[in-house]
Amino acid sequence: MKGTGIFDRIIDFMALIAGILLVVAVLIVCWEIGMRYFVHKPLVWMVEVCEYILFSIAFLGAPWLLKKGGHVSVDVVTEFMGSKNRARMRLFSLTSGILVSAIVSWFSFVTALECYRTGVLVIKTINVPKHYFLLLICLGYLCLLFEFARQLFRHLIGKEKKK
Amino acid sequence: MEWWAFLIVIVGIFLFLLAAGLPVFLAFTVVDVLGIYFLWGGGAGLQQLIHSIFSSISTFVLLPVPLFVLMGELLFHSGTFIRALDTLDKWMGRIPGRLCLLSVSGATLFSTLSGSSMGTTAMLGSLLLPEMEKRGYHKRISIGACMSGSLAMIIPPSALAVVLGALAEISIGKLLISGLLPGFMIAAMYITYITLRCALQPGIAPAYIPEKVPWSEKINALFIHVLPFGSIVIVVTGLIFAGLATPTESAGMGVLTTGILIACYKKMNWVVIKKSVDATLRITVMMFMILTGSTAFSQILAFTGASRGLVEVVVSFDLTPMLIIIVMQALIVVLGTFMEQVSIMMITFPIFMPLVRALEFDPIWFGLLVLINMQIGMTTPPFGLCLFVMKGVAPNGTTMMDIYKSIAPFILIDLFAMLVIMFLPSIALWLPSLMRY
Repeated sequence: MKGTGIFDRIIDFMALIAGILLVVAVLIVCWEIGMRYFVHKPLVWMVEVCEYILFSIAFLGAPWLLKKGGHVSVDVVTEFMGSKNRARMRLFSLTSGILVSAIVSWFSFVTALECYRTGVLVIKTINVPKHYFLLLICLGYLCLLFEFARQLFRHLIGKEKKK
Repeated sequence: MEWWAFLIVIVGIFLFLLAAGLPVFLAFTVVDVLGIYFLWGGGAGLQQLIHSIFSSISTFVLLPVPLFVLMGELLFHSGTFIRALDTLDKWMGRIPGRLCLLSVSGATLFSTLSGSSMGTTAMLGSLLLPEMEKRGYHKRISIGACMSGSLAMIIPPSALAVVLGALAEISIGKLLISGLLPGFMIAAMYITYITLRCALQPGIAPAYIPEKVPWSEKINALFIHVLPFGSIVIVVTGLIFAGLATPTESAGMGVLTTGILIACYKKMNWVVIKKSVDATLRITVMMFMILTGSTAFSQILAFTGASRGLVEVVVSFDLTPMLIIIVMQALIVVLGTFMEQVSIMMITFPIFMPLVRALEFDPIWFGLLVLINMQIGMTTPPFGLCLFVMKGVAPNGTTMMDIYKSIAPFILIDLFAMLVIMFLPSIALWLPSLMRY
């Protein structure tokens, strides 16, 4: 299901960046091995850059994966429900998604703002302001919020594709 | 409120949300938000949740997960492994159930190169099942044999072993290596079962005369299409075992070697890279988003005293330590029938791991038992993920019941293997004991 709207383009673009970061992580690890074993100058920043990449991949890719229906869920109970109850459960699931995404994105924004004001750093080899990462959580959950809302809208008007 | 009341409420809400069909990562986050809001003082607590989400996946030990998956996806999408399977086919000769045996040996070989079991299952099912059907193989044996792709979860490199090691705080390198012998042992058990069943019931897999292949061609194909994969095994498993590289470094080298190998076969192109990265991203994001809830969930269980309380209760029972282990594994088997692997670990480990350490069992041995258990969970009716993968690639007319019936003997073999390793831990622990680090 390839989307064409602006929102689709945004989350597809975020997923593209996540994919590029994945390849970059591979290259960094290989480069580090080369530097460590052949040049005897290990890249001291490699560990934390890869950690940040792992973190970024999850939040950049999460809305895209939700659009693709790739977040695993358990359908043991809903499989045995009638279509009406299943629709109700879907409504509950999407509403929960909207509420929780709203709460997490809001509190990640507030926490990021606080970290920005107080100058909190992630202190490792390279000191990075923590609010960058918290804003990424905010962005990821904000996009999840919109995606849940879009799926809810489609569900309500009955246009959601039957899985 | 007593700890057990907290435990019932927390786990009850979580299971309800799962049953309602919420994505697993969302179910965890809902429990985290509710638990933290009511237990840790509202908004201030929720700010702690955000810090907890940040620290949960920004950890270096998880880096091999996407890399091990990427290796398998590259081999799968480039089609290079199909030639290796073709070569194995040439070497099989006239043996009963040869296509089933080809499937198990192909799965074992691919498991030494890939960290993803679903990809292996899909590949074997789509390649071999139509051929098996054409040769008159009964579905009761053919489908189960193709699902031996789930061995990738045990045999290194295993992406799930990395997550397990990170969550249980045990040596990832040793855990990976501990899966080697048990993985081969289970593959040997599958082969024995297939051979015996085909000998006793020849009609289940009718013998046929395969196309005669000259020895020169067989040897040529072996050197060109199979042996080069040994370089990946050496780079990944060999380097970890020799203590020359960390799991992350060997995973990075593994991806590089896989890429070079595929380029040598002239199969590397933009489409292969795009498809492989896309598939890897799906698995990685799915796993990592579930993990974002892990730290907070464990913290809530610890804060309410539920983890400690449950451990104290279990220890106070007059059960032998081995019986406690069996009960824990049985619980994971039950959870595995309807839950996803990472979630099972996240729910059970905050309680199980302190118990394992309190009972003075080797956490590596326990971790490996859990891995075998997870493999069983992937193939257990009614909701194992590999079952649905198989349904997706199986020839038309294959029902879920056909798949359930076919996989049942293989699940029994897995359970038997788990019991063997439970009572003979050296099968799992001998190789890690030889490791320098």
